[in-house]
Amino acid sequence: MFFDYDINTTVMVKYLPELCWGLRNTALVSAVGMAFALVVAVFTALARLSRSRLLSKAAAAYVESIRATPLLVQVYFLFFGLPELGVLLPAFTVGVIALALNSGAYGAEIIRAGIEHIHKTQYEAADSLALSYAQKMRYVILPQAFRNIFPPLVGQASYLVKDSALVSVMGVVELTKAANTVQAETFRPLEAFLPAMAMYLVLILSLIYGASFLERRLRRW
Amino acid sequence: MHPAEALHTAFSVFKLILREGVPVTLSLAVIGYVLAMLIGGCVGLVRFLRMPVLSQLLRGYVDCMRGLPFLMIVFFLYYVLPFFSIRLDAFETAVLALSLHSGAYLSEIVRGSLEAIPFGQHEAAKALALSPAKRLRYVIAPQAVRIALPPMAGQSVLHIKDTSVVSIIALTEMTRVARVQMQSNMEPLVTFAVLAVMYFAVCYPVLRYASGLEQKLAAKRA
Amino acid sequence: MPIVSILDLHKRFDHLEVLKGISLEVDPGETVVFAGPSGSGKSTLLRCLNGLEKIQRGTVIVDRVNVHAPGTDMLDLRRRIGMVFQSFNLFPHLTVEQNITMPLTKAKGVSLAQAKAAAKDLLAKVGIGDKLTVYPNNLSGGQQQRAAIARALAMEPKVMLFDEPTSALDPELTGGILQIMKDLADSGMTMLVVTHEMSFARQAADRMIFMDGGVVVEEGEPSALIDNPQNERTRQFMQQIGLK
Repeated sequence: MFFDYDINTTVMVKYLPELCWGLRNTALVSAVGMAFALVVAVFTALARLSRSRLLSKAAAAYVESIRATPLLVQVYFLFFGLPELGVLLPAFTVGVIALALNSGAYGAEIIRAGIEHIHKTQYEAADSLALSYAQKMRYVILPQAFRNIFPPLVGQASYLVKDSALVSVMGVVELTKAANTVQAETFRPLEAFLPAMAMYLVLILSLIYGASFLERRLRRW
Repeated sequence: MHPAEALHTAFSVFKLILREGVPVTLSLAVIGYVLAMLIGGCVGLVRFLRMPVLSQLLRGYVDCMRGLPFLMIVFFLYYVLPFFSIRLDAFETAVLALSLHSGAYLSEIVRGSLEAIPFGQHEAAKALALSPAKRLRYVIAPQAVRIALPPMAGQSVLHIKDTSVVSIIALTEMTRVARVQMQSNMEPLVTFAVLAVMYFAVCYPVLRYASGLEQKLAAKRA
Repeated sequence: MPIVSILDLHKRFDHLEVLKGISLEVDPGETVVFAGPSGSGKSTLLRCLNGLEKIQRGTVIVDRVNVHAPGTDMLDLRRRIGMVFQSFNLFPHLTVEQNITMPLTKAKGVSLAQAKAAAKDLLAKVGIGDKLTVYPNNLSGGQQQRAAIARALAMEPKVMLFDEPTSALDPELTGGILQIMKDLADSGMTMLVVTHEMSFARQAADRMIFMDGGVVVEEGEPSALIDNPQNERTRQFMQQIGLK
């Protein structure tokens, strides 16, 4: 009774192209989302670290409101709210914006923490050796910050791919939506979900393990 | 839209979410997180102790939870379990999905915190003739809890936010109430702003608490 | 003419006044040891000399440069002042050799070949000539401090500041560092040293300055100050040091 579910490989193979199309869209929305998230993260982190109180407070408010509300609510807010403001965008674009704004906030925290983590004695040592501000940043601070920042940013990218499934609520046929559609058409959930899950696992776990590999690799000093 | 009108809409949305959504969201959050902590504690401990076979199997479980979108896990449980004669309603499915998902992340926190205790503490406990179980109970675990607490509080925020996702399988919690309400009042901005503020009101204090704990811990270590 | 002149130096952290009017002069080639209880302001004084700390009042002149004047070229000044820190402060992402060549090429414009030659030479002199390609975190504390001294010396400074250079080291490692410092003092380097090592003060210092509560309490020839302090606070401090 428990194991009498026979996997129908014919069904599985037949619908594989639809899942692959979903995978393509998941990869696309994630990749574009990551690129924009990085930009958002860098500028937000700079704003947070800036000496202007206003800029720093504004950046903090943005980061906190993203971190304290669900992504799905953010997606709904943009998807249904933007048209009310007269901004009509394709669902894919709204998806990219939502993911970039969301991951950008987390990325900003990673970058900020990575820079703040560098002890002030490193700045002093650089100063005592007569390095200019630009040289100090270029040769002393940023290389160390990079090591603190890069692996967790890759880790954050894995969250972004996970989160990209929520773009499906706007009708974007990414991998989760594709799998669910196949499931609804065939009434064979395992044939639909197992290949989709395998694809996700490869994609997301390589980012997760890539992050910890980088973490170890960059720790040579 | 007139401000007074917007305020009126906002208030009626707020009341509706409070009445019909908040109890379900809170139950999902609390029940789900308690179960998740049980799962996380057990799985984390087994993996810390490197119990053969079981440890590897549980690593597979943790990787599946970390490597799949939460929505995918929800769908999988919702549509696949009935084929194996396991009939759960939407709420039960949601609790199961939430606790499995958060449990995996919590187990990583538990394992990491246990592994963070320096070797010297194990040695000192051994030298004092404590049995392995007592070493864990009286020496290692109490110290690990302090390390685990801030990330566990942080994880609870992610857990609360994840409860919104189960609205997609037609479970009426906060997000679903707002979503349905929006279709009748046609005021998406106000409706979702109210929803966002309500989530914020719950999550933000927890976030602050978590970062407060973290700073305290960092200060103690320095 | 003195190479370091300090006149009525005042330094405050928020409401805590750490230096309450310090005045002193150091001649070229002189080695001066600063001693005193923790919180007496001796480290802060050192850090005011190369502008790591800003000051509220007074004048600090090093090698004819007014350190805290508005238009001072800090980079030019710092090229002439070397500093060795208590916690070494090597750059962890650079090898020992790169810790020396990077500032030498970037801040002083020395060619890489020359910088490498200098690094090799200096590291051999401080006794870690075999550690060129090693990252600092793989060195012992004593080795790290040797590398840090070599890094500061590579800039060919006119004045060297040592801020408790042996305080973070195990006792058996301090001797080697102190010997390097003594040799440096003998070679005619101008040195300002904050340390609790009275043996170093006796053997290498020309003068000793005892500070407490942000002021200079007593100064003089090191052995005289250690063995026969005139001031009550100095006497107490020397007793405590002697007891440990």
